Amino acid sequence: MHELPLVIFTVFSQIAVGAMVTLWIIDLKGGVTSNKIGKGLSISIFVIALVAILSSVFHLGQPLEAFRALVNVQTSWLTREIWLFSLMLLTMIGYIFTWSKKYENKRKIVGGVSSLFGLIAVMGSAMIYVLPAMPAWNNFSPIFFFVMTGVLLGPLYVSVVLYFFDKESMNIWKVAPLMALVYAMSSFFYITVLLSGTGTLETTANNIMSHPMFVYRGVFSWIIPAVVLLPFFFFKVKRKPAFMLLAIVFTIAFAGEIIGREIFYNTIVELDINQVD
Amino acid sequence: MGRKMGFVVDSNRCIGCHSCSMACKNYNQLNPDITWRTVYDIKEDTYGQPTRITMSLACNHCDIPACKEACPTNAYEKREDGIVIHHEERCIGCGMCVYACPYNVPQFDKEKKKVGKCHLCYERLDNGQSPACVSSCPTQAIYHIDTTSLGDEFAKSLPGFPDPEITKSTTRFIKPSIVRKL
Repeated sequence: MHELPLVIFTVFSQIAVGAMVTLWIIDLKGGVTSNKIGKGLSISIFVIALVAILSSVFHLGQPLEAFRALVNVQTSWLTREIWLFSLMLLTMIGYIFTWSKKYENKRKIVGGVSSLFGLIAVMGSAMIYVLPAMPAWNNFSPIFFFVMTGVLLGPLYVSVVLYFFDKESMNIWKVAPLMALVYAMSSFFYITVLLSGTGTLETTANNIMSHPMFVYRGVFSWIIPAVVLLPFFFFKVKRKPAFMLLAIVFTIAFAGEIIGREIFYNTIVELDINQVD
Repeated sequence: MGRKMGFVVDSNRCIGCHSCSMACKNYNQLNPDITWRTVYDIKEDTYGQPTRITMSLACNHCDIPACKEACPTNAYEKREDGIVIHHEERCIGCGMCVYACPYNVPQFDKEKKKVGKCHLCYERLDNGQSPACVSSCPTQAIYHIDTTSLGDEFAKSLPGFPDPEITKSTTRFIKPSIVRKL
């Protein structure tokens, strides 16, 4: 893997944002019954985001000079991304400290602000790759797929943690199989559209499909969450998946996203001399 | 109107000898796997009959440099004369410019862990000399010029060259004579 720090950074940051938004929404709806668990969950999300940001530094040739990347807000999406994730982390610190009865209203506001920064940060992250030099990325797909990682894994993560403490009352896990289906269908259309193109687009699609891990990516991220969790929608007697089952699905989907991101970085074909669409 | 210094590549004259590429490497003391100027073959059947045509390319010193826009550290600067230079001391090796350039110009040096690219030998120009590649070309197939002064007889692209409009490349080409005959 050439882009391992970026793979870790993007997937972890997207899980953190997905989980943060989920936690904020279920808190708004009164779905977090224990402040202690809410606080613990938000600390764990903060740690995931922190791991992501620390990992991103290692993709630089000069990690100790990472601070220099803060200066070009005018045109560089990388600079904007760093600022947005920093703002998310800062507001999350406030969010963590508002987990008590006393600060309930403030928590909802701070949580909303943090979620908003996180969402824009994920989109900003994706905008880095929307480049005319990379025709297969020069469209809405990086934004869509980065958000999908958060939407698939974020709610599932929150659900697994709440399940562990037996506090999952809102069936958040139901988001995962539905999103897995949307993810699978949109990926199918994306690859089909690339294949209908020529030059770098077609080559990128062929690279994706011939990648040795592509099948695992599809099975882990799209098929397993849908096939394992969808049946629970249709049982006549209401049943919930067991904690272990949910934890395993999360782990497998997480592995699928790591593989998927590795494929994302290593199959792209850039414009180059004599490599023109 | 401001000046736009850039290269003119005469594909009639270029014989694909790679002198320009070697002179650039030598002058800039580049590591073995780095080239700031490369000689490309144009596909043999591009003009309908088998012909060997080459084009020597370095940085296109674009009007809208994608490298400069993507760089988070402002390591790139577009001078008043249009030359796009890279300040190595500001580079953190993030590779964003490498991703962003449609012509694959910035090169990541694995030893230095920083990026580098052609700067049109601006320090030589400032001293009244020609860039290393220009002065080494035995057939005078490359020269540097204020491209705002050039007319329509100079092409903005050759077959295999990515769309120059993406970043408003300033490199101009003299098409091979076989094209003019056609």
